[in-house]
Amino acid sequence: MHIAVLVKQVPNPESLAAVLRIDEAVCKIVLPPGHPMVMSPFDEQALEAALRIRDQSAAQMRISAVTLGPESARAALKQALALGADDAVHVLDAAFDSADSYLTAHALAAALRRLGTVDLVLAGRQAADWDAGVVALGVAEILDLPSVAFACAVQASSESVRVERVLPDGYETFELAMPALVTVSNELGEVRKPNLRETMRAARKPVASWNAAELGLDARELRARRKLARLYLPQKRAQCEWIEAETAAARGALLAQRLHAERLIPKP
Amino acid sequence: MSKREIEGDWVMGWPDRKRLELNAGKDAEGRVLSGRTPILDQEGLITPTDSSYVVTQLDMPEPVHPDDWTLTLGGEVERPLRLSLDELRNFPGRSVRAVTECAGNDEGFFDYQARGMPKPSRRYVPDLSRRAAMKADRGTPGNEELRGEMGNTCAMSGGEFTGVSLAELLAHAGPKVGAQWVWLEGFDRGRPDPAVQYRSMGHADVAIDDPGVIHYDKALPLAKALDPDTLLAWAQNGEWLLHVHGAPVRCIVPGWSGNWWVKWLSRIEVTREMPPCYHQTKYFVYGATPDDPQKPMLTAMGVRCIITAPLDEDSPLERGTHAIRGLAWSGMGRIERVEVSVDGGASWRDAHIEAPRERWLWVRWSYLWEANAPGAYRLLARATDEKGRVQPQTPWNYQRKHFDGIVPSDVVVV
Amino acid sequence: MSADILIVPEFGQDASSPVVCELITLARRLAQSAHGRVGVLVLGAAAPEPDAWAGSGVDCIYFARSSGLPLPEMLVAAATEAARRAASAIVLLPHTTAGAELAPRLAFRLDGAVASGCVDVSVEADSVRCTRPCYGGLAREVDEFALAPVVATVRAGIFERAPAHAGRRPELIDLGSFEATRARRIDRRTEAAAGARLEDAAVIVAGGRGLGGAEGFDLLAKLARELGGAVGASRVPCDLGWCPHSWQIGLTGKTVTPELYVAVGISGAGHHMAGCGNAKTIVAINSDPEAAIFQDARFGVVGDYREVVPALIAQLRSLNDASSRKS
Repeated sequence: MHIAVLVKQVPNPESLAAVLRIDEAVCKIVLPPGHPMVMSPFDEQALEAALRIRDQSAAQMRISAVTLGPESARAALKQALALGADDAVHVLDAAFDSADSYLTAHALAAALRRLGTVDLVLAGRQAADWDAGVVALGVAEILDLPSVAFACAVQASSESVRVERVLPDGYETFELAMPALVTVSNELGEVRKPNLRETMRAARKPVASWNAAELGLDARELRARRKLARLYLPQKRAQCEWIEAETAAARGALLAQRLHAERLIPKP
Repeated sequence: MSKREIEGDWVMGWPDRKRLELNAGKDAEGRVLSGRTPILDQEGLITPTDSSYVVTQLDMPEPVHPDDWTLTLGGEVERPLRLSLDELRNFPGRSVRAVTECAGNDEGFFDYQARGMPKPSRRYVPDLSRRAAMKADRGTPGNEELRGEMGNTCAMSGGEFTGVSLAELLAHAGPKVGAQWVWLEGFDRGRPDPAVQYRSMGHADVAIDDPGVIHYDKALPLAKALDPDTLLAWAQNGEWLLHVHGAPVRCIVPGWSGNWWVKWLSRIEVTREMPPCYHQTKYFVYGATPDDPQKPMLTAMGVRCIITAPLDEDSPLERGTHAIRGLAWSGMGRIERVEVSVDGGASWRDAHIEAPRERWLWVRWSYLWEANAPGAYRLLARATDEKGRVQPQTPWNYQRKHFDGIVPSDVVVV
Repeated sequence: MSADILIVPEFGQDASSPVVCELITLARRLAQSAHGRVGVLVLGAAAPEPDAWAGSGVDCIYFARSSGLPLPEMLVAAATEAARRAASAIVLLPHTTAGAELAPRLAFRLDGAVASGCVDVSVEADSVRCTRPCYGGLAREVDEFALAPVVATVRAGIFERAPAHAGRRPELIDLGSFEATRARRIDRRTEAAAGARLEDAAVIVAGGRGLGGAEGFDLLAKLARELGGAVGASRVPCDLGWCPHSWQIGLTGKTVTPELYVAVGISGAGHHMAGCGNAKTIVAINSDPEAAIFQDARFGVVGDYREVVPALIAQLRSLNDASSRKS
């Protein structure tokens, strides 16, 4: 079985809140020098889903990590290889420098076609930068693959893939004929860390770099559809009224009185 | 035994083991304000610079360009000096390898031993970024939060420092007869954070003296200032001193706790009387209680010996041979002997002390323990220094400084 | 120029569903700017009664036959067909599991563009502007697309319910039925939610990492009962198994818009606020005075929730008793 995992490199979202600035004139985020770039956390979960399928299967299994991004995005591929992917593809071309989800989906779909027979495509439910959740499902549409989004568990047999997902009011399980595409959500659970053995093996694993021409894409024909008209940090609206009293319990009681006085507790 | 999973990392483009990582407290812009050394994972005697602990009493200052930095040496001297960094570096240089240890390191073990509190863990990782944010807002922890903290640990590191002997400079300036103190001042400023002293005491029940905004300063007794190993250093571990460690120049005071190692040094004054340095008269003092009229300043550290493996957390252990390992050092000179007990102190055996044994640096020691019978064991280690001092040297004191007791590892063999 | 708007609600929602009403409000506004009509796609075993949609603000109903819960594949096919029939310029979906899953496929099949999780959509000259949170809710982006179908999923609670449009009875257009051949649903379990559904609750008491464990949610449930509300959570407690995943509120969970939102032990990271930032009043209880949640809160209490919440419950109870005695 051949599984392809779509990964994206993003600014580390864990430490972004304190440092994120935006240059509104050019609609670009500004990060402090040295802010770490990491594999988007949902993509780590997609890769984890692939690795769990391999752990539970006796069949021959190949896992390819695929990314589109600048030269620096190679680090995300190396991390994927260190976590256990077998090979990697870096879609790299200046034509994709300001690619939107439309262009990215077409480029990744072309890369998957070139990769050969892929039975299952996995991706994070959304990337931690734009939070759009569009590219992977766009790839499914371009390649005409059945898809399920937001999986919390993925099991694959030779013919089909079983996908569970969390709903607002419960769970549902689908069965898809392969080849198929599944996006993975955080409910999948804890992901593994790169260990030294795999990291060392990863150094010898192949990373292919494909440009637009090699993918048979004409950059003039494929143009971004989104124009970023504005990017900004929203103003915080509330002025917090601090409930002050000697003890925590007294503050709790005082809060009840304030909510009551301001008639903020809706009548059932 | 099953193989341990070792975490991997990419270093200089190549796969490697994960490197030591400072447990750091950072501000909103990601700048390190404080940090603890992952001492349990350190190999060898020198702590990598990036993992050396960072403790700062006042506000982290803005960096000063080396060309803009000058050092003045005045007061009770025949020939006052004003030196640029290049001029300072023209004095005969000297390198010293020494342990830097925060005076409050392992403070939580005082309460464990003297007051029956739960044993702190050397693996305890405090949230230093939260503390930094609290300090920025002059917030202080309450008693309840303080009870939840385990006390300072891992605030120690070993390093090689390169600079010039303070004695060389003093010889050049010529102290006048009657000079007793060498007053050292950094260019860092700020208002002492009460939270630091609350954490030191483990409670917030005592009013903290507020001197307003001050420079960080200490006054060394002349004798210690004239020790040739007391340095003004511009380099650490083979490279220029980092800003967080006091660049361009800091003091190195081997054997004395970290608060003496004045960072960002800018002014030296020789005096007859001890100047009323806040961090020498109000904080970093001994005393049985906050009301104790006798509050002598802290000076040399006691005798230290810690077990780095196995710890309580490594229990249960498989039957067989285990190496008990650790570090030992002293504030007064080199370590002569390390003894280990595997029966709670009933009997003691000599541990192997690894070379080199340097005067101010710690030594690594090890003891091979044949743990063949299942059961609970209390492992102890104690050191003796070249002055014949044993542990503990320092009794409980209200600021919980200079802990040097013998801390057991309690493990079970199955 | 004129451009039509198509609404694709969740399966089973009708003209009375709050989410549909909100989408109709937005759709009417867009239709006015674009001089178009508003259509809605309805799936079901039997064709809907157009009278049920009379006065809702919808001009036509596209009906696709589906015996039970449709599969994602059928939804895409039906929505594509409806959008093509209507020559829709803008397709609006609720930003839910099904909506967010359907929108990208629909957009790519229509050879259009897509914006997910929008908080605003507008038509300007010959372009569509979509405003949406990004970077974990920390930032907002405004995307501009050409009016060649744009598919947008819209967050709940942003738009008011549409006022009634007197007498208009929509036209019914039957699209036939759609098949799914490559996927099947093999199980669906619903968890009986205790009390009000989070999406509909007027009061929500939500817990975060600061609760320190599953038992903290018992206390929050008591507070929720006292306030007549529901219990929710930020992502961490769900991931740690302290509470069901269905309680998750935020960028990757539910979007809620209660009157009163009591956040307990929640730091207030952007990705959580993306799900509750439109609550009318936010109250934050947190032991960390630096927590970002206080920047969004109307009332802030610093302290251990184990002490604050029981006292809050007790005081609420006595105030309730007092006011019920008075009346």
